[in-house]
Amino acid sequence: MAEVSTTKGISKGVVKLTVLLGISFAIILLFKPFATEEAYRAFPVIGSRVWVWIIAQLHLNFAAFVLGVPIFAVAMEFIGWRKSDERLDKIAHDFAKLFTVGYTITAILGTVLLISLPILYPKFMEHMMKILGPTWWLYIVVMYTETIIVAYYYYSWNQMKTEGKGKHVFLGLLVNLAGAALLLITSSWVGYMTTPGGVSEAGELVSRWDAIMTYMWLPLSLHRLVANVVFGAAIGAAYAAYRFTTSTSPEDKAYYDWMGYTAAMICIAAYFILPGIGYLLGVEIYAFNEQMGIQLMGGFFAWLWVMQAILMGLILFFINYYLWISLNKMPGGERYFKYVKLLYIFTLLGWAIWMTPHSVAVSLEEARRIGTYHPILGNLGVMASKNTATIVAMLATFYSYAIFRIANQEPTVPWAKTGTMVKAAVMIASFVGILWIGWYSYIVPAEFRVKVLSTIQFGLFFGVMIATLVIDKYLYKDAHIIGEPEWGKMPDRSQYALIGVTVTFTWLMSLLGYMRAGGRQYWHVYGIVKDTSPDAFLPTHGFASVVASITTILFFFVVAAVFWGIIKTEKVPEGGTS
Amino acid sequence: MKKGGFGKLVVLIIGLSVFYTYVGLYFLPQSESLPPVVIEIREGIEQDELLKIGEDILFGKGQCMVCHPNKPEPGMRSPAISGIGAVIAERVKNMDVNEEEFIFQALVDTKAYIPEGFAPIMPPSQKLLTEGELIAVSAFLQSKGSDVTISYPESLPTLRKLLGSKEKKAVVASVEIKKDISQEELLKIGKDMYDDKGGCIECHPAALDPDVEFPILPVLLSEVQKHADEKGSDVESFLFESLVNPGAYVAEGMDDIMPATQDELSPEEIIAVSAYIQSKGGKVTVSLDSLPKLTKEIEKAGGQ
Repeated sequence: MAEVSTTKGISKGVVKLTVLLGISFAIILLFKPFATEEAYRAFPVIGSRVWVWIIAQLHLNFAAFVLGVPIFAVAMEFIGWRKSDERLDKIAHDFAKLFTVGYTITAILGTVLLISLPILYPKFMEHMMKILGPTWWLYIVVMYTETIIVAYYYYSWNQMKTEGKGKHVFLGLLVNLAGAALLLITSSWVGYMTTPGGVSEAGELVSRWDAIMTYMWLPLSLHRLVANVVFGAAIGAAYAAYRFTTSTSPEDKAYYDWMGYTAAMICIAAYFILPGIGYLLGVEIYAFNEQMGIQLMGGFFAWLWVMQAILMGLILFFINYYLWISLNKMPGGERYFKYVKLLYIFTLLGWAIWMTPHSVAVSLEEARRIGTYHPILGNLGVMASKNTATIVAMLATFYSYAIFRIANQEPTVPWAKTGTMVKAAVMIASFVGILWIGWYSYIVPAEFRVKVLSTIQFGLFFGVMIATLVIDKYLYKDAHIIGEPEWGKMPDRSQYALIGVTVTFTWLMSLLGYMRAGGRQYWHVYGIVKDTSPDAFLPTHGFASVVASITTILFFFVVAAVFWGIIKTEKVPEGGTS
Repeated sequence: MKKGGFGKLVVLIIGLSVFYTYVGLYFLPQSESLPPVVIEIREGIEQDELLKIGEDILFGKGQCMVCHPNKPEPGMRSPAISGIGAVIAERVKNMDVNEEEFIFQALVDTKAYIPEGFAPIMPPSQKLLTEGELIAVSAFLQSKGSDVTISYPESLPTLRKLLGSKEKKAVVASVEIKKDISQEELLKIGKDMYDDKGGCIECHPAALDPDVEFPILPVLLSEVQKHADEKGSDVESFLFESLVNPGAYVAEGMDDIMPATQDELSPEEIIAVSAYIQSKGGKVTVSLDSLPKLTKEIEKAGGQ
């Protein structure tokens, strides 16, 4: 990409943001949304709800991307700087290129949302401004701050590459801090809508801080932060996969293969943490209102959790498939082919149980006719077995990765045999422990299972992963290298698996975003501001799936345009402008 | 750059999205979740019909089955519905309450009777269900192993007694209103009383609400004005009478369900609420100087 001066880059960013905000305020003033007695206005053809649903989800997708990618881009830049690894610096720069373009699109979509909400939902937005108005002005200040830092960070990359790298990494840290501040502010809005606090029953403000610091605020922020890393890394992996499949030179193929692998492993590592944080979020929702928690987990949305399990299991299969194929590029990798079948069976079994519904009856009439629960499958559709199955499938995926890491090495330490046996013993003991807890969870009260046994089960899962990585670190110290990884020696289908991860995760984000919002049922702000619009109902799961697909396809359409733009600018000759 | 990569990418993205949509459309149950509607239960309803309504509420609007399984199962979150009437009949044998009171209490004051081994997770049912609906659910629960003694409207006094005592627990202390209070402060207290302590807003919300059939706050004063004219009374006296003796004049088509305000609010607080209602539709004439007039109305109502 041709060089643009730092000052010019910052000016461009600030001007863009100012123009977008100016347009928003001008349109909002033109429509005078708050000077009306109407609570709702209808959006043509598709209706206000579907319009806001799609725009908000697209905005959230891009926001997740631009907040998630900088986290690991800066981490890579830092490691590349300390280890003098040019390759890591290049990949970090490539990621920075992606999120810098992503910012503009996020801002444009945010502008559309900013215009839509007060015009279509004036009374609701009036309430939100009354309760959380000052946080909105803070949001604008942080947006300007972030725009300036991001532009400075990206456009000064080459300038500060040799001198002032430490300062540049620090700038990257500031990008992330500003991103975290934006995340906290926006999560406070969603948190207030779902688990409101700080207001009287009539919706009058009692304490603004309590309206911000709701039950959902911090766990939601944490969940979003980790999900953003997963999503950002998945987009990075998809970008690398696309570049891999369209590259012709072996050097490019090798580079994009490595970039795709790195991004995919960051994605899956963060993905492993998500269920645990999701659990924490669920606990907070239950603490706020049991009925909302139950409705979300076991009521109307019960079948969408089955859908979620299908999608999450598929993500694991895509990653496993990619790692199993990757063994081919590791000299000595063929020694581990025999374990692939076993890993496949464990992942498949885990996935199958994960997606088993508790009750197969879809209506009261059907429940009366065929019974609520299947005598065998009904026992698999409960949290005791699902937690266990999830962990087993994820653990199998971890072992696919652990095998790949050491596939081209042979330990040379004198205690190699003992070390390998200890590693196997840890694996078997943990596995047995996880299964035993799964069985024991059936016969204890729900509270003990949720608060104690699930924690131990997840603890064992993380424990065995950490133990394996630590043992490997010492076991493969000064190991004999059978051959260097042959980066680029991958079939195209492996790259489509990576793109499959990204598409599936995007669809999953749409689905879970809908479920989180749907948990409020017929309330804009749960228990405080009732939704009295014609859309005050939860649509069918099929309808929600259609909207999730439309959003996903639209998102990738814009992402493709971003990729295309980046590739185009790379072709601009030296001295040209981007 | 190799050709054809973009086309494959498009096919993959659309193909996966279509597949997930297919699963969503054809593998998952298709029903909508509508906002709860008030189920009409008329006086003298047949027991069979009442039980049927109770069962429907249990499975639908009440969302009871989300936690309560039909039959006992390991690790269940809440007691099973099957046989619950018999369990209750057994439990009340050593208690001072009858089955009817026990069931009502368990529904409205949900932490009162938590069976051993279960956590207090149930939300108060009166937030979701009307009095008639509560009776229907209670009758259905009782029918699961015991003789049904709960009926509508015969069981209403027992339920209302419990609801009343439950409400009273939540009543906050009286607010001190000094004689030299400014009108602005008086109106502010009036708003607090209207929204919170008095609970007026639940039946007379500030804006139109399709679930509420009573006059909303902005039109309350004009309604008072209209009925005062019909009765030949002055607005202030009629307003006080409506608050402290609401049964004295019930508008056509409305039910006599409003509680007497002096049970919850002090006379000064009633003055504040009256001023607040007046402020929503005209000139505020009510002040602490109106206390003698209010006291007269309270005495007429047979109060303190």
